[in-house]
Amino acid sequence: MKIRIGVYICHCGINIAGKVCVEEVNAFASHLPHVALARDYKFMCSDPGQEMIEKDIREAHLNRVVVASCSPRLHEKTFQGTCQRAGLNPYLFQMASIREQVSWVTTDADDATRKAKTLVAAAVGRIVQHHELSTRQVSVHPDVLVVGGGIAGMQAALDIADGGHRVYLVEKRPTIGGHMLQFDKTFPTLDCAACIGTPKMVQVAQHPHLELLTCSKVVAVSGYIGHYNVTIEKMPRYVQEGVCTGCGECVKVCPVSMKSEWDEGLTSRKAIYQAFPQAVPITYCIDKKDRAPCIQACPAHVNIQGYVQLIKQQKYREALRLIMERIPLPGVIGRICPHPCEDRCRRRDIDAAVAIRDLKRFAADQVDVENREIPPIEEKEAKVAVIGSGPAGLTVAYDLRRTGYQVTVFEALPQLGGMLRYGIPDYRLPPRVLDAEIGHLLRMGVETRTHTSFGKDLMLKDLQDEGYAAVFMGIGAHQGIAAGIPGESGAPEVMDAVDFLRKVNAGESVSVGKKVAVIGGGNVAMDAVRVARRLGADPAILVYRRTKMEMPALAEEVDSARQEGIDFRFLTVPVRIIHPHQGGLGLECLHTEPGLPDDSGRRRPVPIAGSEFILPCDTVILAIGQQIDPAALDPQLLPVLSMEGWIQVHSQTMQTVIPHVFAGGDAVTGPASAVAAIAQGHRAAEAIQRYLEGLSPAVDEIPETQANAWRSLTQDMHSLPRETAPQLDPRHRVTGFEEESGTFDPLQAVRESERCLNCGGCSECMACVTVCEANAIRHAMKPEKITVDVGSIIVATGYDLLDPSPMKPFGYGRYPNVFTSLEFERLNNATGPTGGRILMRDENGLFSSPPEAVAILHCIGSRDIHYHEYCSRVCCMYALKYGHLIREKLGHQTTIYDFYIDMRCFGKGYEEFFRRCQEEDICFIRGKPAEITDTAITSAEKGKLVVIGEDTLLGKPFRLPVDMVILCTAMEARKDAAEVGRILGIAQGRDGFFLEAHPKLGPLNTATDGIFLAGACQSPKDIPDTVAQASGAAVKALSLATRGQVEIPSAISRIDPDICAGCQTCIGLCAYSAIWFNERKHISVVNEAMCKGCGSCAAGCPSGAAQVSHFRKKQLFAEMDGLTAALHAVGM
Amino acid sequence: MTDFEPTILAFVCNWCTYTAADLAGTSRLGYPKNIRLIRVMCTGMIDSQYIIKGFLEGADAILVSGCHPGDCHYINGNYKARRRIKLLKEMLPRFGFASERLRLTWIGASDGIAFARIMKRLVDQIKTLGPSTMKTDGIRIDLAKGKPS
Amino acid sequence: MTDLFEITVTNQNLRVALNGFLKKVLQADGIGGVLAPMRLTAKQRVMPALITDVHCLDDADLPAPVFPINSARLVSRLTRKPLGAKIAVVMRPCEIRAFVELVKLKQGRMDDLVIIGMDCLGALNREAQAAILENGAGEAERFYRQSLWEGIADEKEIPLAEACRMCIAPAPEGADMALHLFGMAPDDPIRVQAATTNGRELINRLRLPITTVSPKRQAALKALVDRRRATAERVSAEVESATRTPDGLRAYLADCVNCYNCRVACPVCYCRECIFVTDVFDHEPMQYMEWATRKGTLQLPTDTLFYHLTRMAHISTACVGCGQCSRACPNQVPVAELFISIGRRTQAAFDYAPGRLLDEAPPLSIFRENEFEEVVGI
Repeated sequence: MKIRIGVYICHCGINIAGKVCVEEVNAFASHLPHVALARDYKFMCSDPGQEMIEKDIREAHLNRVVVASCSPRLHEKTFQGTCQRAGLNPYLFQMASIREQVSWVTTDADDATRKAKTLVAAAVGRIVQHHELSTRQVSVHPDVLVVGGGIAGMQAALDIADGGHRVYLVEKRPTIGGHMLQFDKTFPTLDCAACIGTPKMVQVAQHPHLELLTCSKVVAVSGYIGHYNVTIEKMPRYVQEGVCTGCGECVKVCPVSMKSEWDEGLTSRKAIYQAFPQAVPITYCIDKKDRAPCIQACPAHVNIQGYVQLIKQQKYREALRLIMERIPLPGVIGRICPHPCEDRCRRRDIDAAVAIRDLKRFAADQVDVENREIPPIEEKEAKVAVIGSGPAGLTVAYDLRRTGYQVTVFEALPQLGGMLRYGIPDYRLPPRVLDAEIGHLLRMGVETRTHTSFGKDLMLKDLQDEGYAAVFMGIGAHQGIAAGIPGESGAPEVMDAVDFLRKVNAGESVSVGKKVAVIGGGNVAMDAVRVARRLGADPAILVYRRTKMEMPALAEEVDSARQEGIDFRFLTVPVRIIHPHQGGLGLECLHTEPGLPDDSGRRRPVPIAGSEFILPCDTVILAIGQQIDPAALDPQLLPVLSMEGWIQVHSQTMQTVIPHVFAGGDAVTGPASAVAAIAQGHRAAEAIQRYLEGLSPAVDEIPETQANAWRSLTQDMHSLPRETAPQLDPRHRVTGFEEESGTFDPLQAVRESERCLNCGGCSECMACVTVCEANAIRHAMKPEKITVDVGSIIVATGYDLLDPSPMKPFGYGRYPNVFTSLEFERLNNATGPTGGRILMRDENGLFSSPPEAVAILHCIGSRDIHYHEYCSRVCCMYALKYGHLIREKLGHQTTIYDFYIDMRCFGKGYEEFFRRCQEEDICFIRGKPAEITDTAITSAEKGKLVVIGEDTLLGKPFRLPVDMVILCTAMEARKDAAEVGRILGIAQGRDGFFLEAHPKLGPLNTATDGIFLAGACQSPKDIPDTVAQASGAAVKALSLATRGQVEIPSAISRIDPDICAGCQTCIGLCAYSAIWFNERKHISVVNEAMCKGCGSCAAGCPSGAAQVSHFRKKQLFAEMDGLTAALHAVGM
Repeated sequence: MTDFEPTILAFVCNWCTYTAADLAGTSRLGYPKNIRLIRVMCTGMIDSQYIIKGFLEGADAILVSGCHPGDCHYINGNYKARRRIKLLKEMLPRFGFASERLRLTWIGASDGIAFARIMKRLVDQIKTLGPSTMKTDGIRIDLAKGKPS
Repeated sequence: MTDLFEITVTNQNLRVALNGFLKKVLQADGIGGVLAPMRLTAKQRVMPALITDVHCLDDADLPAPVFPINSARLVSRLTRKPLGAKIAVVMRPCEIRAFVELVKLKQGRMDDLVIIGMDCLGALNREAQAAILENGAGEAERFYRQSLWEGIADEKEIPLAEACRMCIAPAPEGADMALHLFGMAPDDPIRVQAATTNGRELINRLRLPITTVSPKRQAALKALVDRRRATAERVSAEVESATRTPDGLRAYLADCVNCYNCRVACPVCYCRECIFVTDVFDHEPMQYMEWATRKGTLQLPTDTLFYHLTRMAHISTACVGCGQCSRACPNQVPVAELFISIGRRTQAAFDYAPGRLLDEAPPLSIFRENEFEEVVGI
């Protein structure tokens, strides 16, 4: 169809015509390509003006219209309407701004006229390329989501629910209510926050259309106005809603105390708690942090924090039960464990690690083994053979027996216990303890066959014949490794540490010479040398090629050895053993020096040439290392061995390549700790069970998320000395094999357990479970994700209070009686730490006596370029409120200073309240104090906090002694505002608060359609404004929901499927996630409902496949071309 | 050269700089006649082709102007524009084309005064710089010298 | 555990040795085919071919110093969607880099590939290339004897393509397996390195003898790179001074006839349809007349300079310097030299190296809040 453009030049009275020669422009325009007619008129926007256009469209068959007048931002809509009325698509209209851009800003009339011509030409050029665009509608989902359960969220949710629409209210804390419910009274009316707040909370809880989701947060939002799909993560409460009666019995027994967020840390609460008595829902909640570092560090993952807490409550039996869930031999491990747990104890950051091992032993020693309870066992058919009765084997036996399997333990040696019995000397682990605890296992019904050595008397085949469905190999590493130096073999004076210890522990008489040299630096070497000492060796020498630092042996072992007079020879390497024909031996050694680090990261010892010397001795004991005794192996198992000679297993299931054979302990890892062996035992036992049940032994482990977000260490955690168990005097020790260390006395144990920081929050001691009659507690609860569909979202996430601790001059955190406003609210609150009495802290940090003088400081962090430039808007008023309340509660003997910069009492009844307070003789001083100090210069200032500053009205400096200081700290955006903004696709302003669509005309809207703002998340507000805005936002959401339809703009992006190469660059550039990728066609596709037409995709698309309707490249080029053509014709 | 009147194209975003231009108008703040505004919804939609074409068609300078960082009506369009300008400013000067001819500024909706001031400053600068030689067609080649006359 | 293995070379025949290696690769289970340059019976030309029959590998010709097409485009074709089999592809370093760029732009996937890279001595220029091909496979040996074994420094004697002479990245970075040739003597074995776990998996199945690092390779590589960097500097300097002014640039591109061959040959020009052939540039006849009248003369075809500048803006940051654009130009416009010299600047500006890392996003596909403040303001 032929293009017929009508051009209309507006005089705008004299606004344009006064400068621009409109007739000339008219004449010029009429000769431009495709222009059918051009007219000029006094007021195009007037009715006759518009009618003129309509008439021409109808009669002169115009199919394009250009109006040159004011700014399109003023009248584009007007003229588009005009075109529409005449049946012309509004997008076939273009405007040239010859008033704002020409007549009003150009001095010379000819210049102005020429410029006007070029702008008209540009518009004419552009409009040739315009296309019709249609307006579009999408349906709106009737439900609404409200994020944040403060007063704003509650109000909005209730308004919408009352409107008959379903509302989801998401709150991340365990109760709704928000900051308002923490307050005492509310200004200026002084009605109590709880009295007006709690009824709303109850309404929320009871409203039929309202679904409340506490402990929950929005983690993902997809979709667009009318159709949002929201994913909500519900954090476990660990207490079942609806089942919990809120009786509070659990609190009485919970051993873990933590700071109360609700009371701003002024009081403590238990790990199981309820924010405040009127909390909604009333359901209690358990505060769990990440798994405590000690438990993570323990190979067997014993619930250390748990049993330590139980010991604190002197619940020894429960403590032991908890330990024995993971440790079959608590008394043993409590004595010999290398306690990796203590190395990671966070108490070390304060003083010293908690004596975890000693506490474990203490618990074990409290309950004598004979009457340790035996758990009820439901018998199972299947038989399992356990080869070797060391810690690994016994653990497997213990676990499988507990679950009812028929377990037989085979042991080559006469007695059970493996290395525990034959490796560890009696002074560290008395046999009676081992016997007793093994006895307990046997009482559980574990069969045993001693004197039965696998590989000789017993083969895998036999076990199969005997009907053992699975076999666990816990054969350990009982053979010493030769040092590979000349002269080590064949002489009775040269022995191997493992044999040596085995003999001694078995009670055989072993004689060592006077001078005994032990070669090695591990725990075995340490045992050997200390045993030798006890057998009368003097000197007992330990020869080690590296330095003390690099010794694998436990530090405490080394120390005890030193006390016992062991002669350490570090940086010494033996090269051969000399056998003189008569008399003792000689150990020829070289000195070494530390060289470059080896694979183990330790510095490799380099022998110093020519440093040979001879160490005379009568006995040499080699403790170089250990290996599996090949005799103790069924040849069928040889292929299972690794190059290094260890049994190879699947790291998770401990299963060997022979499906029914599992293995663990030293035989797999090489010499390691008993607790490590136990850990492997557990893993094997689990896998064997699954194997026997016909499942795959391997389970895809869901790795626990360990962000190591533990309970934070705070100043008030004072240093407490670590308790030490009684030790035998070294001189006495070396005379025999009596146990060297004793156990805690109960008082010590309690003191020690009190040192635990409860890093993990709840200790999972299960005390609460035992007392909960409603049986509401579920420690195993996991986070769950739910998704909801809504049409719109209201964001009411509120604010954070600025933390004044970085502002050193005000001494917050340093002086106990400097409080933040919110702390004072709690202090003042009937449900607060002082039951509403205004008291100050004494030297012990306890709230005791009322203050005689109080200072209230405004604008802490507000109106301060170093923190926040903005005014927090509420501080002046609540400062007045504080003044009034203090006066009311403490009477006239108390002096009240109110330090302000300006009084901002703008609201209804605010100024009146100010006047009322002025009459209550509160001392108002204009000027922000510079410093709070406790250094007195006059006697009056002694023991007081001195407020230093300048009275800016009098222009005089002041020093005023007070007892209590209240800092009116700024309201600031939530710490996680950026994250929340990202999820919801809404922006933050420079102040960090969420950005509204327009500061004046769109304060409730965001740049994302269908997402609205309410309350302090948008800017600091008082309660009345917040509630008003909340209701406003509710109306926005309701109007969308009730209309059920929404119109979306047409000037949006489109991607030409024939040109798109599917590079997806546009998807990355789109700020609204409005582009998705069609895998099948391998092209990007615009979601028209989400697109805002910003054109990021268009500029990012090299082929021009993506273009914004009405701002297409062809249209822009045409506009430029029209412009340059005109410039060429009329000149600048 | 004082009689030189440069042609300056300004691609401005609808929400900030175009509004500022309107404000300059309604406040009757005069500025040189050499500016020609081209209104786009966001600086983020300004294709490098517009700028290249603009210069080839004889613009002596091109201004791209949008919302201040953080104020973009479309969240971050202005950041994307900044990268494209960076690229062109690396590329074009390589051909002896003064970098000052391609400019990027942020002029907020309320900065009417700033708008007028910046337009004036820009025109002065380009006047001292002289005409651009990027313009393609229509230049007569003097065969003797092989240079534009 | 070493990651180096060796391929024995008998009577100095690289081609046969490499073909032997490729056969092993093709026979390894899980490998469905091999994409490699192959001798065609037609005119002895060497073209990439997807080979599945082991015997056909006798005609593969990896050492041939010819570069008819950047195989990145072909591989992208093959991997846009699942291929149904894993294939090994032999690519020059610049082809690998180009492919990495294409993968970033979702024009191909790494999933079904084992990329075999080879130390690249470059390819001959268009004229020499034709000659050497006619004279059969043996000629390639001569090329390698000269440039590898006799180490002839002046690459003028070996008529290398300009882009290759400017290439400062001749080692196969980013390959799963890298064939090491630099520094080897005629009878040395070729070393092949497992550079990724993907490569390692395959190589383990080839049962090649393991070996140690070549003592001479690093030095040889460095020498080559130094030499080429010098050339690159020199040529870029020449190009820069030639295109110092807009008129210089116009003169440089004067022979361009808008055939768009350069963008067709360019591996990183990935658009399905170049914007210059879309309706954006499809003007009404009277429009041309209007322009002509306005300007006095309207050079036809229009927009040549516009085209090249736009292309620079679009892909100079992704230019891998393979030189295919120059090869493709019917009028011998040295496009590659220009784009390489521009690329050096634009890439540096965004601290971007095309083809270096898969997760390195193309400069114009991302942005940061605080950056390039220097370009703002008047």
